Amino acid sequence: MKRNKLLIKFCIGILTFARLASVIGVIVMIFIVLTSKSDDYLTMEVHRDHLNETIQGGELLPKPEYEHLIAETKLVSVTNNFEVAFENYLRLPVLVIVTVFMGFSIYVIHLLLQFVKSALSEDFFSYQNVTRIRLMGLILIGLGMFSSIFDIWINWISRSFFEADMMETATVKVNFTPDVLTNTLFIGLIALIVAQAFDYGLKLKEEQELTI
Amino acid sequence: MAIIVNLDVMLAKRKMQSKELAEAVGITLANLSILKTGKAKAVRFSTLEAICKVLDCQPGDILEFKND
Repeated sequence: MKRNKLLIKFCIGILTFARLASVIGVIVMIFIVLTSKSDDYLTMEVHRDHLNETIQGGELLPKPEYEHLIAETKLVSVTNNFEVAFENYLRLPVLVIVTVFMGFSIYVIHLLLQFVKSALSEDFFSYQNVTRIRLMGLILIGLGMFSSIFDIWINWISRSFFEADMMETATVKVNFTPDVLTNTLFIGLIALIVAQAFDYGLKLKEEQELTI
Repeated sequence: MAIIVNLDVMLAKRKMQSKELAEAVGITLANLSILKTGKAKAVRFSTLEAICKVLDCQPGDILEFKND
């Protein structure tokens, strides 16, 4: 029990730090964008993950017992992305969008902090916590959707503003890391399910308490 | 609420105080108050049995159904 409380306090410490660091980060970002005259702060990175460019000199030899399984090894550069700088007039809308995005992210951290803090007190199973988890879920879904739209927008820019053949996908990339665990959208959906379970559990608890 | 708890009426008839009933039944005064004010979601048969035994009455004397 004491160890559990220590763990919760550790989490509270980390989340408090994360919240503070995020707030400072946003303030610094706004300050830099508003005061700096440089164009470097409004750039977009266009990924070229499937670029068929072999770096000279790199060699990876398989062990003799596995030689029959490997057809070819090639060292391919995946860091050769483009950085596109935009004109200055786009700075303010992008700043507003990023600030709102960050604001919601900080609010999610704040809600999570309040939720973890409530675990120390006796009112952990409360409707306030259900609202907190629901809000977190909805915000995370919103942020995930916004992020996906942003990705589509960047993809659209990279395909329509520039020569298309530079961005062509040459191979099919298979990824075994489940996207479910990292995608904000799915985390939001899981949070909503947890909120629903919490709500149902709370109703059962209330019913149990009001059974005389 | 459709189910009305007439516990206070029965207590008045038996000239008994809530505290006495709570002690005799074996529930807290707070729970008895929840039952009396109609805030309770359910009543255990064992509790109902004990109340009926102490107040010497039928469940129908304590609980009443009214169509809203």
